[in-house]
Amino acid sequence: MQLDSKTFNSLFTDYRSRYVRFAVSYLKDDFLAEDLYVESMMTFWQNRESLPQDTNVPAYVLRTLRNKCIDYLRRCRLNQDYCDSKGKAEIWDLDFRISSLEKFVPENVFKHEIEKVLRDTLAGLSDESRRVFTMSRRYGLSVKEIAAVTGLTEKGVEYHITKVNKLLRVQLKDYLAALAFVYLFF
Amino acid sequence: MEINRDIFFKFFNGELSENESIELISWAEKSQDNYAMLEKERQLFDLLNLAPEECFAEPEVKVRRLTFVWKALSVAAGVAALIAAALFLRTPDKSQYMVADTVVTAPAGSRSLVNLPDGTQVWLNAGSSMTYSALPGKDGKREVSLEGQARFDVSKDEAHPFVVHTYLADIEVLGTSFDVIADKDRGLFETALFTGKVSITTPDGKTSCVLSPSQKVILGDKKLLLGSIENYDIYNWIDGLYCFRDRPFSQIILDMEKYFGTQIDCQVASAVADEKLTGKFRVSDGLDFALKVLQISLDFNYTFDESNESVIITD
Repeated sequence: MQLDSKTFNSLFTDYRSRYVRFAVSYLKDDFLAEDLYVESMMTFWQNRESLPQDTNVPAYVLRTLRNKCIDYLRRCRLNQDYCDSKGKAEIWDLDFRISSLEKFVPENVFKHEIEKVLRDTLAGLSDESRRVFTMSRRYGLSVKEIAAVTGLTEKGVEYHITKVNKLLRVQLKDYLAALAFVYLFF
Repeated sequence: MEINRDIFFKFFNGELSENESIELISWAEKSQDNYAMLEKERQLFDLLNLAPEECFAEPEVKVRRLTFVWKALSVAAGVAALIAAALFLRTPDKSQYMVADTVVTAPAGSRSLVNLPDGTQVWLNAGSSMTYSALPGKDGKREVSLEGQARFDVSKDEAHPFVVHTYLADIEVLGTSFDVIADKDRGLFETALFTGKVSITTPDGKTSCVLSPSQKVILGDKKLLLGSIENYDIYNWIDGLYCFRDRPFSQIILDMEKYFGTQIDCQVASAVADEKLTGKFRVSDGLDFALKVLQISLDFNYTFDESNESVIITD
């Protein structure tokens, strides 16, 4: 496909923080996540000419990033020394992350007007709830940290997070059901 | 632990303790439905992570994550100590004047007010200590080192910046008033700014940020967070008040050891130790009074030993 470097640069900036956030949640390593994001973007740039013109670039990059994360986590799983140093729960968590990533379908993220649902739901929140939720999701702060920064009690912070999560689950119910359906066939 | 949906997100965020994780895992392995539910929650979690930034658009959020190299920091601190030792051995310029660094310590149970030669006023909280030199250091900087909590009212002198060194980061000041907690043993760090301007820099030089009045920087989980001061109560220690908010009982006990200068041996079960409390004490009312008040909201017993020098707290 044809793509000038200016468009590429703005794609790079637009998707950076959310894709890195996604990778961090699987890799548990900020720097590695950042590296793999940059590598994924570079992979796309190098292969762009052999891709069809209607390629969904964000989905392509997300798929590359997902594959790189799987590769890394599988290598960890096969590394005897690494696994010996971890507890049973951590290994279970690692296996769960690998299988979740394997089932993850990047194209789905861009379907079903998911952005609109999220935007509408969050726009309807109280300022306090949105503020707490933003710190929790966008900045990845723990309940304890949010309490320390906002001056709310930890219970208060948890109340807001629970409320927003509940709301999102209701709003995204159909979307999640559709995803579960897809898995039955793949 | 109750298995609810918030637990799932905490698990994905790596916020659960090992025991809690084990509990969640055995729940997930109990049935296929449970496992499927956990997978579905992970999808929702991923979706939220991948949501575009505008979804969260929130201009008044004042939190900023500072990139912070934790491992590098401890190594850097070691190297810095070595370099400092080497400099000390090789450049005897200070000893030429026969001026030794002065160490001021506020003993547990009392606060101290220190007037530095440049006119700066420092309140040291109980059990804290500060080292300073009567002469300005190289580059004309006024430098002090702090272990514990202190309030600084720095006299304005733009030609000679004032620097507070702590175990975690350096705080550089022009003329200003601010509160610092730097307690290495308990892993605490906080800088709260009331007036003026300060900048905070980690030893690796990679993380630095400038605070404006009514902002604070605190140490979160291996990262520094910039936020706004919402509650000024806790800074009232210079007036002899001990204020705490949503603080675990075990931490309150550690604080009180310093405020009242009495050794406290806390032998309660972890359920009691983790209980979070909010309150305020006048230090002059004494430890016995404070413990009596705490007993109203929490079930524990305490006994003073004969010499009144230590307290044992039991269930």
